[in-house]
Amino acid sequence: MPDTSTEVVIASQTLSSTASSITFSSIPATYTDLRIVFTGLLTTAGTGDTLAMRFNSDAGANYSRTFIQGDGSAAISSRATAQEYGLIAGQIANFNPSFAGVDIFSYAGTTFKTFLSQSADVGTSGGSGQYGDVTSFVNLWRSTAAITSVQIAPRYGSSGTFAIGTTATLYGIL
Amino acid sequence: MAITSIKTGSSFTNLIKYNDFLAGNPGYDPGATWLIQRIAGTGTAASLQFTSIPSTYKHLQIRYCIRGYDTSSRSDDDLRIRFNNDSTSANYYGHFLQGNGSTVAAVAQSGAYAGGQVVISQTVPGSGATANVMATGIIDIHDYASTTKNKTVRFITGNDRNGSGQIRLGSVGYFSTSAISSIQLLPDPDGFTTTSTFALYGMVG
Repeated sequence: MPDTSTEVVIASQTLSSTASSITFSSIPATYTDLRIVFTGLLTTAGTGDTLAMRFNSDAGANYSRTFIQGDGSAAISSRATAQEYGLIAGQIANFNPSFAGVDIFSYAGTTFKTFLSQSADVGTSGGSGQYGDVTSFVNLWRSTAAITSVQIAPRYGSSGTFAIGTTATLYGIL
Repeated sequence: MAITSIKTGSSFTNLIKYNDFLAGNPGYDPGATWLIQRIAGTGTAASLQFTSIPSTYKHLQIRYCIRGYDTSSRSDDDLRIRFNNDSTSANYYGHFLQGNGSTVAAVAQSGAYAGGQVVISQTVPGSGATANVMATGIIDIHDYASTTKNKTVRFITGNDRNGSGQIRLGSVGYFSTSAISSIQLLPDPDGFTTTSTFALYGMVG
């Protein structure tokens, strides 16, 4: 076996107080890919929101996405162009944690950055559990810059706030 | 007690014998995933392949970030996969769930569709696609070294081009009880750009 363990924890955060976002910064360029595993929920009751991601604090209209989603009654595919953030989870709310696993490929390379996300959530309103979905996204960030920081937040422009216990871990993959 | 330093001229006689220097130190966790090999596109090669894959892991994973090279300025190229250079059409089958931004489709594909291989993606950006756009994916090959079972593969692949794109979830059946010792990654029609990379990882079981 080669002496090369390939998946390394770069940083991990678990919120001990509510927060509007989680940020990983000063990401070294020494890996091939990045992976982020997120599990969390919002503080506010009511209808859920989506979960967003930005790189290098870029709030320009440089993101786009294509996704498929099933919610227990129908399957859809949709897309959005020229967005100010990427999406990594279909819903996040205050009842049950949402999960998102995000793979960011060739993050230090000189081509545009493509990232895949698979998310799952159950019960986004009223605690009844019937509003879940499973979603797979492919997102594009149209930038050739190396990614040095990643921010995860409830949809930008919303009033959502992450609840205590929300956790995210950033892995580097050699 | 952990050994943290050794003085020059120290005598090592009459010491309690340990087989290594881990005695008294925290355990070393080597992790469960290991890089086996990484290969890059060449522009013109008709296939890239991982060869001499050791059977010492439990599962394999391929991660890729690629772009097609073709001489006809196509928007979309193919990424196809084959195992052990086995081109027997009857030994492959694929099932896909995919979306293109407006329609969800479930697709089945026999090994005969592409001549003894399975098409992982038909939307790898080709030479005529928007510059700098790549296709990405993760392919998991479970219990690849088994000599008693056929092989099941799952994958996710996708690309987005700010107005077009595809996300695809898939499974591949490889109907062979031979251990997988090589994997062929086949472009269609021509090759993968030099900015393309495939990395093969072994997962300890």
